[in-house]
Amino acid sequence: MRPCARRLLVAAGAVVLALAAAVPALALTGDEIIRRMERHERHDSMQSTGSMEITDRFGTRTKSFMSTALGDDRSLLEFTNPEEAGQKVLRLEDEIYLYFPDSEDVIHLQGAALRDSVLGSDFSYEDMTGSSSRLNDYEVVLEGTEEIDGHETYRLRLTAKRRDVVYPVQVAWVDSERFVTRRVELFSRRGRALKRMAVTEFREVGDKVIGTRLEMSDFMKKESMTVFTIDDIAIDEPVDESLFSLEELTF
Amino acid sequence: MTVGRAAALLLLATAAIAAADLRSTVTIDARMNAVSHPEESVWLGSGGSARLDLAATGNRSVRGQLRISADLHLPPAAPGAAGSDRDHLVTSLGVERAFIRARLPGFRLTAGKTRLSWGRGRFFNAGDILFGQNPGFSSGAGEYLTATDWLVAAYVPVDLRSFLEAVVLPPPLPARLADTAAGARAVIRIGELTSEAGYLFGPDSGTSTQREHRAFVSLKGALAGVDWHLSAGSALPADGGPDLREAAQDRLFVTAGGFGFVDLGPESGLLNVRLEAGVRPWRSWQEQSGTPSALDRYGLYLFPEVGFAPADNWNLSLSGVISPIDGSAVTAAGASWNILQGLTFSLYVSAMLGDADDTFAWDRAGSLAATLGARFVFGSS
Repeated sequence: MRPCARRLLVAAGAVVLALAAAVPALALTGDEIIRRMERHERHDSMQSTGSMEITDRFGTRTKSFMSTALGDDRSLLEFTNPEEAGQKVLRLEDEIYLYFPDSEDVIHLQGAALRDSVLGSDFSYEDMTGSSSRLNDYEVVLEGTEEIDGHETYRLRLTAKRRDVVYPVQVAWVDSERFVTRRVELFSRRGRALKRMAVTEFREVGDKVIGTRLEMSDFMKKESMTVFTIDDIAIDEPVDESLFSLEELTF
Repeated sequence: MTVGRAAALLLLATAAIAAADLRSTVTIDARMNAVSHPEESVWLGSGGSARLDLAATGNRSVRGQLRISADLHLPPAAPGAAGSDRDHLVTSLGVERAFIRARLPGFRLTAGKTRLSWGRGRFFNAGDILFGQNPGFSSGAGEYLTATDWLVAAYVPVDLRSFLEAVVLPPPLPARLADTAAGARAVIRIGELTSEAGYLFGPDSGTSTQREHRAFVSLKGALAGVDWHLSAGSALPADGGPDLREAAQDRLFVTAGGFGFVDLGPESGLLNVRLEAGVRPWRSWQEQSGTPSALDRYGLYLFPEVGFAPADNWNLSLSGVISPIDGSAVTAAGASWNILQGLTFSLYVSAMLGDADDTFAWDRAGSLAATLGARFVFGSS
């Protein structure tokens, strides 16, 4: 066989192999990709400590926290940095309570307030505490595949099923090999880009892969970025249910 | 505060802190004030304060906090006023908080100097029968819910959102046992509503020589994205008196308020808006002449407040107290800028509007005021 013909045969073989690999991938539906992704992102329980570094043109401010979550709709977040030490955020189902230790006061948040920034960061209360399945809130369409930071990803478009969903449209890039989120862009109903989140570091915890460094940019805030880092994490370990109560919030 | 009791509680607090992880926080404030004066154009003052917080953390069953503050300031005076700075310097050192909080079987115990927030309301709160139903207006950062006292409280959780709480407030020594105040409240969540009812028996909040019964009821809920609250409280003298009904009517205080966010759109952010009303139905509903008094002369006062964060580290606020019956008001506008980790600059300007015998008057000392401040918070966790 002439060398040219051999090269053609090898190339054709490679194309066939690539197509063979792509067929099952493309056979996945958007919902199935979300389900596989959420196997890494949703847990029976999670305990973590970490920090948020908020950077703007004047410098960086760091907020540290410890967090415990149980299921989709219960979480307790306590800030530990000196400026906000003792401030807590409790999520109980669709309600959020804020506790301010200086005034021993409890504020109840709901509705649009869930979109309010947490301590001036690029994260909202919904971003920080919400973890219900996207399949409950969004219609998912697989738009194709793209390479993000050297990794093959599925590009998914999520469109809110209801008007009360905080982010009406999301575009997510999900690693096609590990099924972890690599990037998410959040849009308003009119299609304006609101935020971009990139997950830049991962850690294996048991059989799950957890994003431990997230960069969030709020496009409405100029020259601003928040880096959310998880330092310690424990997943699916027993958690005392009494943590998620007003008694614990005000302790 | 008595030295013996303070020492005992401080010892206990220190022991609690020593037994657990320690978080320390230092807050330093520096400020310059300028206030108007009827006879001089502007009086100037300056000062600062330092606050040390030590808190026990890391123990799920017991925590404690000790907060010591020192204040040093020169009260506003006319530029070039006679006397050296030392003559006018005001210094104070105090224990703002010293308490232990512990989980015991079936209840939680709090003992020491701290605060409990009863009722609802940032400025007008008929349910706050412990620390006062309306504080003075703050032309600064609006830190209203800060009063503390020595107390012992037991908190009994009923469910995730409901609880019972009993409190005893011992009097400063030397004192009679009869000067002790004691009471309880119940906070019960029913559906979407949170109801609260409380009672306190103790010295008269005005004279401190008589004893009285104080009680309140409060409702809190959310409607169309607005958190609302409605409270009513009153007091009766313990020794009866000639006309209990008249006494109860005179002390009847009804407060109502709403707090919500106005969504300016995804591109603009949120405006937080609060409006509270303080109503004394049996007080005067017509303007009166005479000496101005505190916020209890007329039947109605209002407290509006608006806040907005145009950027990550900027906060703007506008608040005030309006006395609609005599047509006077005090208003304050402020801006704070958290420029670096722990460092915040602030500027607050306030103004009173009204005639000489109104609740707020233009020609009164301090009717115009400005405070420029810097706060730095640092510590370890």
